Amino acid sequence: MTLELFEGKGDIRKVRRKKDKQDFELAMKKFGFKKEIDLVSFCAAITLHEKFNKEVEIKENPSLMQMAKMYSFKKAELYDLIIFNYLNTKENRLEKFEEYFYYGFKKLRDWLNDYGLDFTTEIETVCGFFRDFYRESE
Amino acid sequence: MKFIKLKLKNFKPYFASGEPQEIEFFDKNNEGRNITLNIGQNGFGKTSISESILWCLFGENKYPNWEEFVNTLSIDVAKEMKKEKDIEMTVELITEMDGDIYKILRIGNFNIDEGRKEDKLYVTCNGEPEKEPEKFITEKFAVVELMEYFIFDADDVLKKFEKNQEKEIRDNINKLVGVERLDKMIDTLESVIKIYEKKILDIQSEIKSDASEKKTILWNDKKKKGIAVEEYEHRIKVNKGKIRKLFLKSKPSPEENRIYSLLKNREELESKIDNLNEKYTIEGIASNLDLKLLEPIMDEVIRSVSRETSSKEEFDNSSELIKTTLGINYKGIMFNNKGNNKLIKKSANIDSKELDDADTLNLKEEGGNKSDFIRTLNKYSDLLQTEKEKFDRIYEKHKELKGTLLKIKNEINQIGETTRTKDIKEKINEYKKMKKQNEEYDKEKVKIQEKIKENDEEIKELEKEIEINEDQKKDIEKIRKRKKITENLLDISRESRKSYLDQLINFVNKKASQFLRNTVKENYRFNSLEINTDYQFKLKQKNGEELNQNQINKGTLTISMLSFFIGLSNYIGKKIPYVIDNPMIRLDPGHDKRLIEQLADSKDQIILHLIPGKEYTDYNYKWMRPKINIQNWIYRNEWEERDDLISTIERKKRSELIEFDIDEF
Repeated sequence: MTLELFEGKGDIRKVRRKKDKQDFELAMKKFGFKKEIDLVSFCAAITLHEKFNKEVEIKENPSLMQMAKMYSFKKAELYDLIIFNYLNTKENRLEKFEEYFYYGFKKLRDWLNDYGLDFTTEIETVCGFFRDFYRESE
Repeated sequence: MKFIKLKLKNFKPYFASGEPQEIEFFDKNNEGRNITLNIGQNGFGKTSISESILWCLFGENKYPNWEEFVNTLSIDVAKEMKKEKDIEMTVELITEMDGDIYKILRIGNFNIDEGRKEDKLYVTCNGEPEKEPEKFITEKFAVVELMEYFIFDADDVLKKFEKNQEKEIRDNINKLVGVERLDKMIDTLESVIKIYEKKILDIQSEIKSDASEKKTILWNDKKKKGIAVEEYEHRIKVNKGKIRKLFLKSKPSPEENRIYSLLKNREELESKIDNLNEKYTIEGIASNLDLKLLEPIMDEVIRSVSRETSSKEEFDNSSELIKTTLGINYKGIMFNNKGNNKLIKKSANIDSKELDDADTLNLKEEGGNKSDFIRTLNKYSDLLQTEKEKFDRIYEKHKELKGTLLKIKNEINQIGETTRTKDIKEKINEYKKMKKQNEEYDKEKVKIQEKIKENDEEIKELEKEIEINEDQKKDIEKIRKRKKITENLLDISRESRKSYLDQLINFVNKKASQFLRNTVKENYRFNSLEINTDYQFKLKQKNGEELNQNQINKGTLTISMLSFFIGLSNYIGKKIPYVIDNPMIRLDPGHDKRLIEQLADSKDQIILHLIPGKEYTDYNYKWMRPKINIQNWIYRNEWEERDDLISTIERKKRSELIEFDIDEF
């Protein structure tokens, strides 16, 4: 494998701000994520999904903090290749990943605040999200 | 105990080539007379007699460098004879104890070439050898340090007392009762107690005593919260029971039955959704939720690249996808019959005819990442497949349940609104109210349960802290126990010190006072001599008043000190003969007479070493004569310039004053 994952950068990061953190924790709980990295990749996937379906401009300036080492993120390869091929290869891939994560996180948070809080169980939240999300992207 | 005879061979000036020289101390024929006189000039060998007795008894313990005592002439002779390397120095003391004759013999061998020395003690009792001669000495005599209360130079002793009275008193007392050791022990014990106290304080300052209080508060809080949870659960149960009763009476109307079954269905559906949630958690669907979102991207690419044939149409169709997914540098993927998928660069000029000649990408060299991409996509698409199945199954089930649930909810709501029966309407309202109440209760319950969790964590933390505290408390207990033991030891030491000292001082004061009174008879002012626990010396009058220092003359002070010294030897409680050098030099005339008479009257043998002319005078002889058992005269043999080599001792008639030429001295 000659590919340099995320240009050799060492760690995956999560939100830093207190408000963001609270929302991050809430999303973890509501969706039943056991690991923070699952939520981070889910958020990045939201953005990729959206970008695949419609042209959206992603330009976030997230304030992030270290969460885990890159090697602990098993799907790093997948995301790196998608981002690497999906976008201009000259750009910094990790930065892109972080931007994708944050954009997706904001989407998820907005949905949670608007609709998600009414759901009492994890399965309801997840199903509710997918229902709404698909409808939106259709 | 009586010293009968002393046999010396090569001990200091007592040179002997064959048989040892003999000094007689006691003649049985003169029983009742206890004074033995050894008269000789300074340097003739009087003190050597005292030293020889001590060496005989204690050997190296008393004189570690005893080889220095070997007679110098004997060494010279041995050297002269060449073959003789070992010199024998012997001292034999013959004593009488309770009618038995003990011979105490110490033989010292000194090798002049190698400087090697060896000495051995032999003791016989009436000719029978003692098995443990060293033990015999310690039992019959005193320990080596205490023998100086019996064999001493009165001149030296008094000089020391004159020089530093208090120190000398203290040293002597300490020697006898070990007060100094006890003092050291007391100091050590006191410092140990201080260390223990400090340790306790250190530990106490570390202990956070409020931890256990906090824990108790939290425990009580937890209990209260637990009761509150139970209370909520109870209320919910009661409400549920009430709800059941609302619609389930003995003869329910069909409408009531319907409502009840709807409610029951609703509950069932809700519990099914709960089960679904459990599945979602157990199957770990959340960990691969993202793949579900990436599905269209992966699907499209995989579908495209797995085609077997290629056409211009397909190429165009895939181009859009390729642009967005595989990068802006490529137009699309070309698929051919051979199964070689080719990525077409943007710069390539493509039409249907030229496809085979298209600017193809060497996957290995330039775009390994592209093949990696496809491989990775394939790998994750497999994972996605299993995850998708799981997710879809649950998603569909949920959709279905949720749909039914919504229907039932609507039906229930509609019933409440459309029913004409006031009673039913009220019941529905009541039900809604109770249902809402139950939801609130449930929320509250969950809130409290979360708080209990937090509480538990805090308690755990505190317990860790308290655990340490318990250890510390145990430590303190241990230290306190040790401290108590140490304090007891300290008390015992102090008590012992006090009692030993009191006992000794009382005894010595009594004996010394008695001795002093008898010695200074004519001085009516003195009644007693007193040494106090601070080692200060005092003389007291008959009325108990102390005498001022200026009321005491030097002679009185001297005899007082000697009395004190004799008092100490009495304390040892052994009947050992006194061997006293120069007893009269420092004493006032009259004092010396009564001192020696006292000693002689007490039936103790006293061997006095006197200097002719100074102590052994016509006057002194006269008062001593009735008490004299034996008198010896020490000669010094002149040997050219080496006058220190040989002394001989000769027994003289006891009933006559030995005549000597005073001018010689």
